[in-house]
Amino acid sequence: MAVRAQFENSNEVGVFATLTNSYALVATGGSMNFYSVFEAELADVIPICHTTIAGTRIVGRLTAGNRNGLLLPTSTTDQELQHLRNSIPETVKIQRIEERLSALGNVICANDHVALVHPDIERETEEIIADVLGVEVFRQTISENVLVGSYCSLSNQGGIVHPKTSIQDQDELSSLLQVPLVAGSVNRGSPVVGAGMVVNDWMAVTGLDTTATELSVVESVFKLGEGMGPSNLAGGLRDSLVETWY
Amino acid sequence: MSLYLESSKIIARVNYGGLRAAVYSDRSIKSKPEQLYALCVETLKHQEILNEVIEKSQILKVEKKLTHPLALVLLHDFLISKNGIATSNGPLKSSILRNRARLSAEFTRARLKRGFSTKAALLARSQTQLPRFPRWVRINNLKANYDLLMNKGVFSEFTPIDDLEKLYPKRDYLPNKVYVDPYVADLLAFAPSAPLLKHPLKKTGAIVFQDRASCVPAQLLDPPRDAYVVDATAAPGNKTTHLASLLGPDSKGKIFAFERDRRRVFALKEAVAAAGAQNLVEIRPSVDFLRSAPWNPSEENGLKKVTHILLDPSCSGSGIVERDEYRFIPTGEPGAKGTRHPDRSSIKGTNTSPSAVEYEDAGPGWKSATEDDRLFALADFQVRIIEHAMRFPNATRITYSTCSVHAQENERVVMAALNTSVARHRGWVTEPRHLNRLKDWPRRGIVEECDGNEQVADSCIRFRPWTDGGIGFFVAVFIRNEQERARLPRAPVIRWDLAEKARQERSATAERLEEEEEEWKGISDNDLPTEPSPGGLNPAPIRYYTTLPRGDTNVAEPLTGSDHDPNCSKGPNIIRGGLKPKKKTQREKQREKQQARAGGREEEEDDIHGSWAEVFEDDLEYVSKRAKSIVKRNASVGNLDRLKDVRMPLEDFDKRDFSQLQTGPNDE
Repeated sequence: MAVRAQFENSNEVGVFATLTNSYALVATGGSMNFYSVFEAELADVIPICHTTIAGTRIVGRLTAGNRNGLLLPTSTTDQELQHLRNSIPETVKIQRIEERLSALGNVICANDHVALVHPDIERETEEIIADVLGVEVFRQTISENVLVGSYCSLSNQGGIVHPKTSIQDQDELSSLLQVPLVAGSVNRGSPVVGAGMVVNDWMAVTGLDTTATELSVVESVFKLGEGMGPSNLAGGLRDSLVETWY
Repeated sequence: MSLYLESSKIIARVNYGGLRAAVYSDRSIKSKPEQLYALCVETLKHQEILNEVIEKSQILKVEKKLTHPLALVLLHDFLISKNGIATSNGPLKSSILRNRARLSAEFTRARLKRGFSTKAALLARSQTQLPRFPRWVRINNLKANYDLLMNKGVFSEFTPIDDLEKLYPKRDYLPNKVYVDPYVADLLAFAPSAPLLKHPLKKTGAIVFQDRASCVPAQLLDPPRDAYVVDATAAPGNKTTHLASLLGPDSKGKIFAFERDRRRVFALKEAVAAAGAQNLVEIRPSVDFLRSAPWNPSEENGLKKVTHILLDPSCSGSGIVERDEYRFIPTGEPGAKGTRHPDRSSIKGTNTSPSAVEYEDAGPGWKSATEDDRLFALADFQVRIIEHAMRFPNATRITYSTCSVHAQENERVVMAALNTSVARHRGWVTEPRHLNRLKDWPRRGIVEECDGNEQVADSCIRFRPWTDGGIGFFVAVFIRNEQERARLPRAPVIRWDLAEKARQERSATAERLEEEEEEWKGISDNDLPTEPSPGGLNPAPIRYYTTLPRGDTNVAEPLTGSDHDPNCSKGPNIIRGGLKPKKKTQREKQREKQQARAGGREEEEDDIHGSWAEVFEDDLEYVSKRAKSIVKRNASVGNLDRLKDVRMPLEDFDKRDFSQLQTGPNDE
């Protein structure tokens, strides 16, 4: 299910939230409207942690994570780290990493199996990402933008990349990621799809400006529509099951 | 740990002499050679993709301890092999594991770039690229026989087929077919994937894996049951044991297996023991076949009785197809250490059968790395080994084989061997095709390379690599033809008294000259007239006996040192070794002047003894001419060096029975 939301009049939902299959981080001090969008979908399924990172509210841009782990910049305070440890499941590894490119959300874009990272990221960071998130790490640019986390939004079902990504690059990326990709925009034409939305395998939250067309692209590529989610039986399979029943 | 270091060492020099040689010739290696070989093969097979990983991940820059070959083998095990790096944690392993994420990512990327969606697909692809060789299996008659294996059930699960092509895998393929070779007895072919490697028969030595082409020489030699046979360059012993198998368990014969290289003797011994041929094979370890002396009285019951000789001298190995498969491609990266070309001389001993070439090496000229020079030196050695075999008093049949595709080592060598005086005098000719067991084999020698002699070309057998189901190979059979021999003129009469006198002179002058000539290195052929080859165009690659005068064999005149016959100065210009004429050094010029001053008489007698070295090296025909031609060229003392190489020690001269030589058209 894809929904629209706004954080303090900003459409860049991905800046103020991080969403994975096992937890969600949201910035503190937002309107109840914003939180309730998440809570409506995720409450009782995964924990939603209200936090700041290094005292800022741009949690989505400073952190990167997936079902297996959460990466925090070195500027994260001990209190914040402790708070996160208390709020999110114990199975999730949390790691503070010393990386010059400290806006981890901008330089890392991960699902539960693969991560794309900024080409200039340090080698040690690369190994830590692989260890903590349990993914294969590819240094990559997206239509020549080094900030892969800003220009790509990824789930285990699919991904959206910068609208000007060439078909060839999309093919290459999608073979690397092993998921279908589409070049698209959110928030009425914004190319920063990573920062403009958050997504996991069950829901996507985009900015309030997102057009219906953009939303339908999001729903279809992330398989979020009715009867498209992973919990639903795919059409072909259901047909065969129905056949055997009757 | 050392497995990886050693295999990286091997890979670094695989381009110089081949993988097999690199693995088996290094003394310092401690790991199991099979394991090492397998690792190197697999690594080299995948090196293209691994090189890309190395280059893209720049691991050589990050991990300074890794060399390019070392990184290759480690990455192969880390990325491709099922079990990962096969050591406990150590610096090498951790240098890879530190970069685990990057390396596997680059590998995935490289794999996807090549269009393989999974690693299994990549591996499956490289499997299908395996050579489509059948697995050739020779039955060892000392431990089993054809009837037992084929008719009494041991190989009953295999269905015989009549076409080699049908062995190869198809989609619905099961490796249950066997092909019985029509050319070589007791030879079977199985599919490459047939489960024979651990077959109990293999362990007991009842079957031997041997390429068809390399079974041919022994088969063509076809020794009768009680024959005395020589295998001149025996290691690793495949052909030796094949000969033993041909003689059979009841044989009263003997096989003399010569092997120069002490280390390879071990392999030979193992092979012989595995085949159960200890009683038949007498190994002459660390003995050079060229220095064997069948005329030695002690050989009365040994080499003197030898009738069949198998010659498989070292060659360039250009027909061995595997070898081309596995080449190490260095990356162009500056960080790629360990890829510098090792000095050729340091790995010279890595020929497959290194018995050749290095020991005389055709003088100091042999260091040049060009292929032509190498072929030339090899060919020179090959002709000599044939020539020596032809000298065996009772020999009736010789096979000569190489695993080379170059005509220089094959047809040219056969032609040169046929043109040697010993061949002409003793009536050695190539076996005509219609007498040949492989007369139906379609691929024969190249006529142009046999100087247009179709008969000789037709009697040679060639195997083309790949297409003929194995390695490239060349075989020729020499037989002694009595009629041919009868037509030849009598051998020259030799004045042994003069010879003896010359020998004494030599020892006197040698001492004198040794004092002046301490720095003498090699042989000075500087005054040799360099004649163009008879055809005028392209001088034959083998410069061995290429300037033979035709039909001018009547030289039965006494050998006299002072007789100056102007015609004789144009006599045969026998060039030995691979020496090129070199420039006169200042020292040599001085010496010549001195000698000129010393006066003619002394000089001439010097020359006679100089030529004496060659009386026994060559044959009798040219002795007188040779002596005079050497007089002409103001022979250098360097010829003394030759004496080291005389096949019979000079001390034994007098023990020899010369009566035959003086009278007849030589022995028998």
